[in-house]
Amino acid sequence: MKVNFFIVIVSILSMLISCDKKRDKVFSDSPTVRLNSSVNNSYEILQGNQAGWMIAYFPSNDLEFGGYTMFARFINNVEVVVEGDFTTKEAQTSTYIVSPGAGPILTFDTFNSIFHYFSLPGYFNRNASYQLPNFFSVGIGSTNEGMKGEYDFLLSKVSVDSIILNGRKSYNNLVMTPILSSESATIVGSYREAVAKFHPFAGYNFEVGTETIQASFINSLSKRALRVAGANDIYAYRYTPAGLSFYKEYDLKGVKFKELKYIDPVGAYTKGYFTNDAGTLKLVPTT
Amino acid sequence: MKKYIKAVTLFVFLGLLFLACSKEEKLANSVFLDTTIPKNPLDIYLENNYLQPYNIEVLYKYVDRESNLAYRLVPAPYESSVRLTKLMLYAAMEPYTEVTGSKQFLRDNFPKIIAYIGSVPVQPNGTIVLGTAESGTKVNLYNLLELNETNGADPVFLNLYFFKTIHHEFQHILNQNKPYPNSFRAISGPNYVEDEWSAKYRSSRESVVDGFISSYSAKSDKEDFAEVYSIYVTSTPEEFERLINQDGLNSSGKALILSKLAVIRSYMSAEWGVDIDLLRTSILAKYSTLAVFDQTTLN
Repeated sequence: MKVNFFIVIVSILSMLISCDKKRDKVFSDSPTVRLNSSVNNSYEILQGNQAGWMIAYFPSNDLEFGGYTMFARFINNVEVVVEGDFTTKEAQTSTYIVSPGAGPILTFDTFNSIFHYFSLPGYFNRNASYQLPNFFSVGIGSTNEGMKGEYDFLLSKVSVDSIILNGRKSYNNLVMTPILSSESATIVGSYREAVAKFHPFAGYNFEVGTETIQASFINSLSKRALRVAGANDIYAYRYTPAGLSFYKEYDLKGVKFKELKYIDPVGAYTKGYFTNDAGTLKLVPTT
Repeated sequence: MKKYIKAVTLFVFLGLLFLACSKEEKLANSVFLDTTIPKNPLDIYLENNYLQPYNIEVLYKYVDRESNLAYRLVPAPYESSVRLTKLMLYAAMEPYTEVTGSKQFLRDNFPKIIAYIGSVPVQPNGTIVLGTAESGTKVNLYNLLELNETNGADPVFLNLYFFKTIHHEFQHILNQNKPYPNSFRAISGPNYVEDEWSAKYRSSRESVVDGFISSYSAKSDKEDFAEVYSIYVTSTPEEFERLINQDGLNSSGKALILSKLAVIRSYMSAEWGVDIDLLRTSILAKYSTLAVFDQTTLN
């Protein structure tokens, strides 16, 4: 008898919950509709800024090669034109696609000798025919991985103000910001000038408060990522006309910083120095 | 009576359960919509020369799920993709059409997806992978970065990175559809070494001594069959003789390889109506004209 009673109760409960469809929807459209919409929106925004986008590109999950600035113009639904601050090579045209995945996925899907340089294994980048003018003239990174760059990104945020790209292998967050039409003619040149000005610095010390902390390059060829004794972080940065722009906000001895502006040589600082707005941290070129 | 009531009660409840959600609803239009992407000359060429006649899809743009995620790879350059598309049709596929007298043979059996990759997979020890295939349906062709006008006219380069792989994988598909005779497996019998092939045989010279035309041939009878076939149809008679004579003109290894070739010749003729000597003649004739072949015009 108890068994039958139990069966009846379970059956009634099953009926009560089986057709419980009247839940409020969180979104008015289906996931598919929203994903298609986000793909179309991404295409529109990428092409919408005709002067193009500046990409703060940091290859490798470990950030040991630092960052580089690339400039991309998405000229139609297929083609993209790419330049870089690290090379004087003329703009290269290749193709891209935005496809639906976990969100809109941006893929640079045919070879572009500037953009894909960072993804070439050392097996290729040690070969002169893949090297770029004014950039590394020897191989960099391991034979099988090179600089571990990516060309396949999840677009986690897409707006006219900025686009956030997540590397699908490294999970690095890369930021694209729109180039103003007023600066489009000069921006690449100004970033290249910054590289030419700052990259020759061959050693740095941090100055925080009264402390001077020696920093060393993670990779002596790329010279765009520093470490200091006793700190876990790798301080990865790229060159900008104003100074240095770091991958994220870092903390050294309690001082947080993400952008350091360059101050021309003054007094004992014969090579000038980079500093935060408050002047509480300096990164001083030593050689 | 009690039992009867219980049975009726249970029956009614079960019936209700079955009926409870019987309302059918039509599926909404929830398919992913392809963004309209204008077709370029290569897209049109592939549609007209690969997809329509042969039902073959060439993926010349990088697609992550069709690539090899275990390695750092880069996409193929567009210009190299044009070259390989034209060269493969001319020098690797058309010979089959000429020998069989129809496109149907390729349409029925050729790998259905061919993915182009710019770089080669590089292993941590620096060795590289020349080509890979999955389930007899998809072939990855690597190293399009290196395919230029000069290399595109060089049969050695084209065989090494593209055409030998194509013929090799194509043979696997043929074998899946019509198995080769057991007599082939008996020739080298227990001497196949599976994954030890690269450690045991460092060069083709070492493998030929034991009756394997290449190191990879020693992996299994299946690979041996595809290796002998693909090397034979892509080599000149002189190149093939040189290869199998590495241990002497009358070596036992050479005799084993020729026995295998005889089985392959018979199998291809009896099962597929393909004379491999005519096929090789056709392939080599194409190779001899590569210097003047137009690699880039799409029409």
